[in-house]
Amino acid sequence: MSVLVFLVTAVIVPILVGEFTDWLPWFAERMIAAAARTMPSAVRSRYVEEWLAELEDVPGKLSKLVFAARVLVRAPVAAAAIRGVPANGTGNASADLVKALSDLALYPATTSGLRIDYAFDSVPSLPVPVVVALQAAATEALRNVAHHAEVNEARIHAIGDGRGGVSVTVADHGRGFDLNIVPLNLGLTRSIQERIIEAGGKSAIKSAPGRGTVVELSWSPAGLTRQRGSARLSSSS
Amino acid sequence: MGFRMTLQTIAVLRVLQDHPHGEHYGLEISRAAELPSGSLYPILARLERDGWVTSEWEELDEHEAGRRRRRYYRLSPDGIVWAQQALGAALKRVSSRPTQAPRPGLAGA
Repeated sequence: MSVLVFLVTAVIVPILVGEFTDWLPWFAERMIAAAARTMPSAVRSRYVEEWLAELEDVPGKLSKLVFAARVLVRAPVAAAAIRGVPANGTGNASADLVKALSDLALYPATTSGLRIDYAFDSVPSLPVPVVVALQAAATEALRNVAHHAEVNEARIHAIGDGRGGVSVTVADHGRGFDLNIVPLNLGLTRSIQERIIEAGGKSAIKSAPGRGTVVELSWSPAGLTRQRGSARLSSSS
Repeated sequence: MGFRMTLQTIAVLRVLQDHPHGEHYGLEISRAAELPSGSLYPILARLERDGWVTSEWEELDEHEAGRRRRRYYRLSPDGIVWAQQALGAALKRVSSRPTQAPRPGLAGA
């Protein structure tokens, strides 16, 4: 009996594992080849060569397989991008706030494990730095909900103002706090607030004990000129 | 309307912009931008199609080096300017001339 156990654990299993892992790189290369076949014929050989070179650089047989699988899954998207019509006016970049905020829910680390209830209404396309600042501020607000509100749910609402601007609220029904006692920067760290202001936006917090907390973030194209005016005023005083 | 840009695209542009004359290959860009490797190639393909990014083969004797040559990506001259605008400078320009929205020279126009 013990001889059989010895045979299985010390001989047969290692052989099978060795056999399996020896096959992994072969599978990975087959997947890269399959991925390249979905690309337009003009660039097919380039991508085979490019991806095989990348595959070589991925350490570990299992990681190679994961890499190849990811490339295979996304190859149709790359092919569609190459076949698509080139975009013009690319320097005047805008970004999609709805997608940026929705993407937060994909990563438990950024939402601090909260369940998020979204509502979007006529959100306009916005300059990239504005979207980046709003997304970072919303992430920070969620972190505060998770740490202080004692709830596991938050709401994010984004509403366009019809004039190219937007207002984003991050709200919870949690513990709330007295704004007179707790430092005002609890809801939004200083750096986030600065980024919002730098992007021409504003932030505000509403809360009361037992009444939950609402963080309001807003941006409008007109805010840029106002901000510039006030900056000049404060520097001259 | 301009170009809709995802945060992943911004992350890729940041990596390329940090060393505009460096030699960046896919795996390295996806690590630096913290993107899953599969997601990177559609982004690079689109940036290349639209003229933001160019790519070329590494000059390498594969037999001597014992590895395959890599495909290197970098921002195009236009791409360097567009990336700067996309990643923040565009906004400052708007605020200095509030009545006039920036309309930079277009690649295809």
